Amino acid sequence: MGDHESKKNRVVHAAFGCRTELLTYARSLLGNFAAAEDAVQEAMIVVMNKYDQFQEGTSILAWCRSIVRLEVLRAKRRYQQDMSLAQRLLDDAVDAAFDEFQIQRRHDESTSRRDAIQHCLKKITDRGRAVLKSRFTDELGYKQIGDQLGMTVEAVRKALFRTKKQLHSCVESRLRVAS
Amino acid sequence: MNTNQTRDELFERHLQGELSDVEKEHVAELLDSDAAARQQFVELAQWDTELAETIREHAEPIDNKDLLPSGKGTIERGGENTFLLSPFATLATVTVLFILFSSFLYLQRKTGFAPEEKIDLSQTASSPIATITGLKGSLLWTGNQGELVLDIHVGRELTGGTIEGLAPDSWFELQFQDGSIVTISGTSMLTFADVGQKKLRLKQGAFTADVVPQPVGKPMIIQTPSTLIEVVGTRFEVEALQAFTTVNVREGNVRLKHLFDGSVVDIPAHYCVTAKAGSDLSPTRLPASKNHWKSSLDIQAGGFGKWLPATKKRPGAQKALPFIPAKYPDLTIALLGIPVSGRSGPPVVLTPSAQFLVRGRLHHPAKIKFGIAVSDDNGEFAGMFRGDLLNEQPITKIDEEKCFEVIYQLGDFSIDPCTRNKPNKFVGEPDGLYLDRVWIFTNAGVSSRLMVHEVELIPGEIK
Repeated sequence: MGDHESKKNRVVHAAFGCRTELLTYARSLLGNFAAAEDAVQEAMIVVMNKYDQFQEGTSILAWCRSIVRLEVLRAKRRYQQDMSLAQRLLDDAVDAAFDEFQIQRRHDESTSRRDAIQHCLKKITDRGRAVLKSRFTDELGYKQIGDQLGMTVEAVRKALFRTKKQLHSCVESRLRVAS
Repeated sequence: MNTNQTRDELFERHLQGELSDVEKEHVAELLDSDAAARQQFVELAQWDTELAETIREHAEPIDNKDLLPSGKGTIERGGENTFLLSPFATLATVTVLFILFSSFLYLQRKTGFAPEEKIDLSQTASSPIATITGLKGSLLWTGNQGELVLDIHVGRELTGGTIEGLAPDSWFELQFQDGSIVTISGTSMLTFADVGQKKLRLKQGAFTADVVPQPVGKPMIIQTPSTLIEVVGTRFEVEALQAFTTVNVREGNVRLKHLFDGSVVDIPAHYCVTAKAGSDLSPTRLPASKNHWKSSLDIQAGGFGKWLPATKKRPGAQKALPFIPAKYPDLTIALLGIPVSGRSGPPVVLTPSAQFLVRGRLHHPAKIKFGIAVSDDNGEFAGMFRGDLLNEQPITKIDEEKCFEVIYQLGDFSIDPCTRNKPNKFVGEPDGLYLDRVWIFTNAGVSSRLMVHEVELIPGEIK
């Protein structure tokens, strides 16, 4: 395997290793899961084509994030999403926050977290699961969820917050026990 | 609900793209000012995405009918669907409504003003009400059916809607069927409608108008975040921001109502008013012009871009934001803008030997592009010029602190390429005209991290 091919494998493998982090970043800028997935997908194609521009020894996450950022801007343009001043200021603040605080999880850590989430999801109520599904899979607003499940907006807000908190505690304690 | 829960909910709704503009500004401010909030935001986003990914990957069909209310009283319903009032409550409600309505009529008669206007686009006419007579830069038009149109051109007839200038070099001129002309320039947002009476809402930005006499009893109404302006027939300029609105009247008479306290003032020709909370609304004479100007980013935000107030380590600055020009979708520039005339103080007139001095910071050496927008003595938009085109702009060098300083001479300015094909419309040279705003950008995209600390207009040569 040549040097170029070897570097390509390393860079692409490392980039795919931070896919969830990149998805988090794209979602924070686009406010939509499906659009964020598309942007990350496009970014991965760029990574595969421009792997030789990555300077080894520097942060792969930061390099990939800069590529995702450009793909996000393109997506905003494509979807003619809100480009108001408030949105630009917010995007800039979000960008700075990720630059400062986002860390990449190790592969085994990510896998354990996912397993823990799956396990803990079984422990919550049907109603809690239905609210989460409506929110994350169908991407519905509080009112739509309320209409669908026969709940008030306030009840949806409380259920969502409570369920996520409950899940978070369950996942953290399961991971603590495992370690 | 405690602070953390409120924040979590705000962040969670942001991830779903559900925040209003006011909430977006609040979250941006929170993230800018509080490191703990930034960390909380990133951690919550990470957790929320892991959870979302897992749920989306392993989504099991849930039979919602099992969760729907199975009978009366089995599930608590919110008050929103419950509208049954006792006879006493009904009587009390009718009384309160009557008092409110009477107060409203009294207030309306007292101030002589129409009730606060809301421009309802669903009531706008379906036939064209105005024609685009000029435009430049990145603009977005939202028609009254909600359609988004980026490809707008001169001569296009519009039925009403919202036009948004997306960049500091954006400019748009609209002529109504009766000949009245309105212009927006820079990052502005204007909603307009005409169903027998022209109603406009300037959400933000700079606006000029040359209004022909309007039908009796149906003046043109312009609403800004803080004022309501009534126009019968006149020439005037408006600059609207969230905190204040400035109105300069060149001809005729304009009536302004301050929405903060309901006070009303008539502004005669050659006078201006700045309406902000707690300020005196007395019109003052339009000030005489000056030739020297310096930005004041230590105490006042610029226009397009992100304002960074002064800290102990660096002066106040305007930071460039990434921007994709409409005509070059593959190009990302780092862009910022600073308004000049119309904010406060006298208008700024350009002299032939004037020079611009720009100081700021750059991450890497780059070519710094510089543009200006000017208006004539009637306050009408008169064109745009670039200071970096006549001679090939050299790459601006930076010192060890990453600071730069660059000078642009007015004699080197040439017409902005985007307005070159309208020679009769705009003047050929900027000197003698009023400086409206400046904008600065690099083609190096977000990586340049361009920020400007100061822009100064010096009438003579820089020693």
